[in-house]
Order: sequence, then structure tokens, then C-alpha cells
Amino acid sequence: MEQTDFEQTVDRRRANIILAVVVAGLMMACVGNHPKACIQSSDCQPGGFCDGQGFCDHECRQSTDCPCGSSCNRGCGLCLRSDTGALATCYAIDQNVSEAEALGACQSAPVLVVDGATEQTRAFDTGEGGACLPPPRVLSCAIDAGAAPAPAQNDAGMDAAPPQDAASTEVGR
Amino acid sequence: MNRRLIVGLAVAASVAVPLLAGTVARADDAPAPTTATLQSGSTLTYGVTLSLLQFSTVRSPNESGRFRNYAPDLEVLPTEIGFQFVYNPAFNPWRLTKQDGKPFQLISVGGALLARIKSQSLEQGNISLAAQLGFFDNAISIGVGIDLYRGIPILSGSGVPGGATAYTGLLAAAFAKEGEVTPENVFVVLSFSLTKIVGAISGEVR
Repeated sequence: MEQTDFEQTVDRRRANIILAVVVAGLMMACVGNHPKACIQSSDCQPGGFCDGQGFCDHECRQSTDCPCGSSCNRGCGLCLRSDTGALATCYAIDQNVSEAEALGACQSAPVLVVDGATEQTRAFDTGEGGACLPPPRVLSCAIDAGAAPAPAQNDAGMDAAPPQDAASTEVGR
Repeated sequence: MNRRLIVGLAVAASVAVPLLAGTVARADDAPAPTTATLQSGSTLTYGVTLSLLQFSTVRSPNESGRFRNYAPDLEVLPTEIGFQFVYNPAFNPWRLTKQDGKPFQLISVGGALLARIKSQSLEQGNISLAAQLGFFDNAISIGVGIDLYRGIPILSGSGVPGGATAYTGLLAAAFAKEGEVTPENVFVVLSFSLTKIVGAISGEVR
């Protein structure tokens, strides 16, 4: 049975509506808030650093975002070890920023003063109901394309084995 | 950004020689293209295409991607394969009639879908679309292309050149948190029909 012109028009409209819905769905699926593009960390707001892909990024806003034994550096938004000041996690390395670059972005951080004293980190032994172990002295961050994953860490956060591949990097010495 | 884009457009040129069988001397390297003649007399040809030479801008894999130092990069035989089609309209001014009554396809339009797969790092491949205008019976064609996705190798956090990837292209900008469209994603395609050019030089014009 042949369709009338009216039916064909309705079919075309229906197809257009479906197409519009699909396109709108795709657009809604798009990432809404892109981070700010940057070339240097000074292009970013305080509390952020410029990652390897060229976008402002941060790991933490407050020290509660960081692992035990580390604090959030308010200048670069990275978790730094309380004892050595080294990177506490692999986050910066994973974002394709070397340790030196990351620490460089952190060094100009303003020191937050709380009640007359610098905001102290969650100390190693202040965890309620047990010891709060520090992050490992040496982090094994294997992030390169095609590289082997980082060695597993045991419950205490210490390295189970040293990295064997050249694509991994050690930070926090 | 506009200035960068203009510079990118000017500098980023991709010279691709399509190996459409029947139009290229080394047509035996590529599967024969399919030609469909439409009711109006127009023809549609499509087939596989390979790029022989690619000139584009890209940031160095030896430095952090955030610097976005786009530099010209010439690549011979990029491992890029694609699907190309050419539409030859049968009416004036696209197709003219010569004095002897034979048709001469002055202008044709076409497009290509190009893809590059890097087996060792899939995220550093690319998928691109290009639109082309062909002239003089497709002896030469020029077009503009844009990357749907292109993974740019950059220096990794652990210092390995090309160990990390910057995500660029339309799809990356739409769906990836740190995706963007850069001058690296725009390129110009120049296609030459080797058979016709060689034929013209040797005096054997078909």
C-alpha cells in the first residue's frame, strides 16, 4: 500500500525529530566543564598546577583529601609528604608532570596559618583507633603508554617490589 | 587562538596520494575501486586509499604537551589507511562536453575517512575526515580535513618521550575531560593521480 504525501511528510518529520534527539543526546553526553587550558602552572588559580596535557588540575583542596602523613599544598593542589615534602602520591606523575615540575609548582605556595600555627598535616600517629602509616618513601609510578603497571603495594602502603621497567619512575626519595 | 588556527591551517598540509586503482600507476597495491553510475549519469567512485606523504604540525614528543609548541612534521608512508569516495556530477559546470562530444569531468567532489592505528599504543592513533574538490578529471584534488580524534605523543611524567598522550580532535574535545581541538587537527589534503600525471608527461593522455 503506497503512502500518501501527507504520510511521507509525517515520516520525514518523525525521522528529523529522532535525528534531533540523537544529536541532542550526543551533545548532552559531552563533557560540560572543561578545565582551564594552561601552559605554565602560574596560568592556573592558586591550588592548581598545569598538567602535562596543558590543563589546570589539582589533586586535593584540603589535607583531608590526602593520604595519611601528607598534607594538601594549597599552592599547587598536590599532596606532599609531611616529613620530606616530597610527593605523597603518583597523581602528578600520572598527569605527566615530573616530580621536579610538580614540586616547583608547589614551592611558592602560601603557607596557611591556622590559629597561629601552620596548618599541620594529619600526623602519622593521629589516626583514631590505630596507627596512620605514612605513604611509602619511594613511590613507583608506572604510567607510560605500554608500560607495565606499578608494583602492588602492601597494606602498609610500602612497595612490595622495586620497579623493574625503565618506564616507571621513583619519587619521594 | 584564531591566529594560531590560521597559522595551523597554513602550515598544516597533508599531502596524500590516493592509490585508487585505475588512477594510479601502482594500482595493484590497492583493491579496485567501485564505480556506480547513477540515473542522472553522474558517477560515484569509492575505494581504499593510502597516504604516501603527510605534512602536518605536531608538538614534540620530547617535551611536555602543555607547551603546545607546534612544529612542522613530514612523514613518509604514514601507516594510515582510509576510505575515499569521489562524486562526479553529470551536469554543467562540473562535467563539460568536449568538441568531439566526449565528456570531460572538470570538477568533482569527494571525501575521505582516514584512520591510523598504532598497535603499540592505540590511543596515539587518529581518525580523520576530509572533504575534497577534484579538478581536471581528478588529476589533482585539494581538500580540507579535520581530526575526529588524534592522540599526540608527549613527554611522560617519568621522562619517557612519547610515553604519554594528549587527546585532541572533535570527539576528544566533546567527550574527554582534557580533550581539545588544536591546529594539529586541521590539515590540507592534496591528492595527485599519478597515472594521469605520468601519462601527461609521457604524452599518453587517456
